Amino acid sequence: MNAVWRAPETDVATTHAVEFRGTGREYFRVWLVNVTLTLLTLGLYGPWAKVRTRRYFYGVTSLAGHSFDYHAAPMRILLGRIVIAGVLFAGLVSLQLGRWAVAMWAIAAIAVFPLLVRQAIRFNARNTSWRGVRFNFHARYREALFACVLLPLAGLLTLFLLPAARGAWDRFRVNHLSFDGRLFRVEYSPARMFAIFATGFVLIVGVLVAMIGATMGVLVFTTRMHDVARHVIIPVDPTSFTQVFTLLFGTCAFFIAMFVMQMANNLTLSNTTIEGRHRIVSKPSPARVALILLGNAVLIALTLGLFWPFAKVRLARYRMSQISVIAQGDLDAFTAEALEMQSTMGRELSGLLEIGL
Amino acid sequence: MIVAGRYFPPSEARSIAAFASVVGKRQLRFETEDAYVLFEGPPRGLRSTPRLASLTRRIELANGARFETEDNDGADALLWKLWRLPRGRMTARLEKGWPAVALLLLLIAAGGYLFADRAAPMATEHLAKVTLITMAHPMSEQALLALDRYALTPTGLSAADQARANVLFERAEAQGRLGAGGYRLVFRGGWRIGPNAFALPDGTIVMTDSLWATMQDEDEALGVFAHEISHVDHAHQLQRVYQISLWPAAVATLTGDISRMSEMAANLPGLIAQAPVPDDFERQADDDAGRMMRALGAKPSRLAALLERLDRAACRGKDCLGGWVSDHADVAARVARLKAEDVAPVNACAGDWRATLSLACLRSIASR
Ligand SMILES: [Zn+2]
Repeated sequence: MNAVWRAPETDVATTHAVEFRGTGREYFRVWLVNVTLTLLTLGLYGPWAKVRTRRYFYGVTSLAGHSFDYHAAPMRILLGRIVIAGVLFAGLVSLQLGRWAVAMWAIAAIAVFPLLVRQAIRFNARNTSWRGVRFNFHARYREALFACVLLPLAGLLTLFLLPAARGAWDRFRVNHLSFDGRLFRVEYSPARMFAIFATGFVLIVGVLVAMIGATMGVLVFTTRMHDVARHVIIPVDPTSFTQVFTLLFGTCAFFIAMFVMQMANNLTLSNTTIEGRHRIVSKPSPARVALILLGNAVLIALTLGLFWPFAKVRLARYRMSQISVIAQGDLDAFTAEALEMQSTMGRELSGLLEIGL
Repeated sequence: MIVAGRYFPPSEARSIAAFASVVGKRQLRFETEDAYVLFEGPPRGLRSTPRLASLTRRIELANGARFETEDNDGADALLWKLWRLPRGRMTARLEKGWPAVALLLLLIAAGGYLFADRAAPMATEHLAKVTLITMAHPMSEQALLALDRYALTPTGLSAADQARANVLFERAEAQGRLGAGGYRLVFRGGWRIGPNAFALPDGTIVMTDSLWATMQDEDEALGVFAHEISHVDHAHQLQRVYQISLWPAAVATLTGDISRMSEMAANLPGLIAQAPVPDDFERQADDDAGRMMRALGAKPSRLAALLERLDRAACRGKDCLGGWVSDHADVAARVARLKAEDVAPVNACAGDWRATLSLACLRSIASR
């Protein structure tokens, strides 16, 4: 099998829908064992639990009849967590040493942060495979610094730069990802992301105005009634009134935030191409995703967390079932060549710096 | 023993339906339906994915050939025959016996709750007292600055009244852990927070003019000062900060699912922030106040009288101002407890089961 063969690349487009065959019942058992073992080992089992969770969700997701696979070694993740704990511990020590030490630590932590993010993304990419071929991720430090620290900070400070920050993050996350040398690429006009965020902003302000209006209406109505009939009083006292108000507004804000998030995800995914030939289509309805998330939050609260695994599967099933890949030509040819190259590269991608988070 | 699945020849993306079996002396064989042998030989460099739920099992050989099967039990048996340990057996067995695991989890949760109920307060108290040394002063300065800007006004108390209050405060602070000079009394106006007094972590105790005006005798002032001094001594504010911030962190670490967790729990902090100051802190501060008052020859029941007066005055007019009482819940229980303190120290273990298991109770048993 020396010859690298390439099937004739036809221009016939085939749509492959992503299939998700996970069930809440099955994942519930995986999750139950994870939680129990993690508690019993005082958290030490955490990385193993994480790998099992990922393996499950990747394993039940398939494209063109082949499932994804996750290969991370839990020890590497444990190592990564120890590094993070070390950084945080250094911060605690610097607190004891005074202001200059804290400032030094903060600068060092900010400088290290993009490295850690890049490392985590690369770790996950290199440990994800489809049909035996692994993904990869290559990015420069300054690109990570720009996308993970500078633009998000600018976005938080100015707010209207948030869509730009999201755009930069998308480009960082996607444009450096490859599936055996074939680059992923995301491209969309910044105006579209801006429009999505603007929609969210308008919706939030709209809800706030409507709720204040309704409150005023209720107050005016009840005080009028108070004059007419002395015994009519406002049914809720001021403190519970503010609680009801914040709860209602919080629910609406959560819904809108999730709605906007899904719109942004759809924009990102649907404008992603692989090697400029294969396209991804993501069309989960943002309203439906937000509704599922809201329902999940309520059910998790009502069941004291027991609904968690079912919630996770429910959301993943809907999201995944709405994603498809439009491939140009034959996907078999696509991976055959990849396998050949990979075997020459060597299978083990290990090194001291190969840690996960 | 034959396991059905699909076989991928080395470096091939196309697969063929195949059966795997072990023949002869630990020789692995893959063959097609019509008995055409695809591979037969020692399983050199064999690697298999661990068993997990009903996921497809993959077996890889050093030469790049792969075999995939949905038959997890078959794959396990195959690996045993090849003298390889199938990974994921333990967790698979646990997942099968999930009701037992659920019961175990329930036991852990119950035990963990009891433990956390004891250990968490001890941990937060220790943490609070340790960090107090470095954080107390800057934190208190910032807090007072913010309060001065938004809620407080300069005091309108006469110099004579201030002097009288300071004399009483000096008597009370001698009973505190830090002793004379360890605390500082600060006077402020401020209708927003009603008749009120509160302690900042560094020992600064702020009293509003209206609270001073509500007091009827010196015992009441001593009681309020002693109560606030106890809050400082036990670093109650910092403990509260840790209590609020530790739980979400612990939950996220345990589930190992920080990203989704934050998505779901985005609106939780708001709910937690509205939780009242724990009753144990108030009980501890009242018990300490009772002890200090008796040492000073004052009657703890006078503090109870002040509480009742404030409770009656609060929330009567249109502008409900709250104040010292509304910050301190469960007035009736506190009044009863303080009244009993006139004669002898209240048994720290009296009350509901939480009081019986409280740190103060354990300490009182230990010192007996
Ligand atoms: Zn208090």
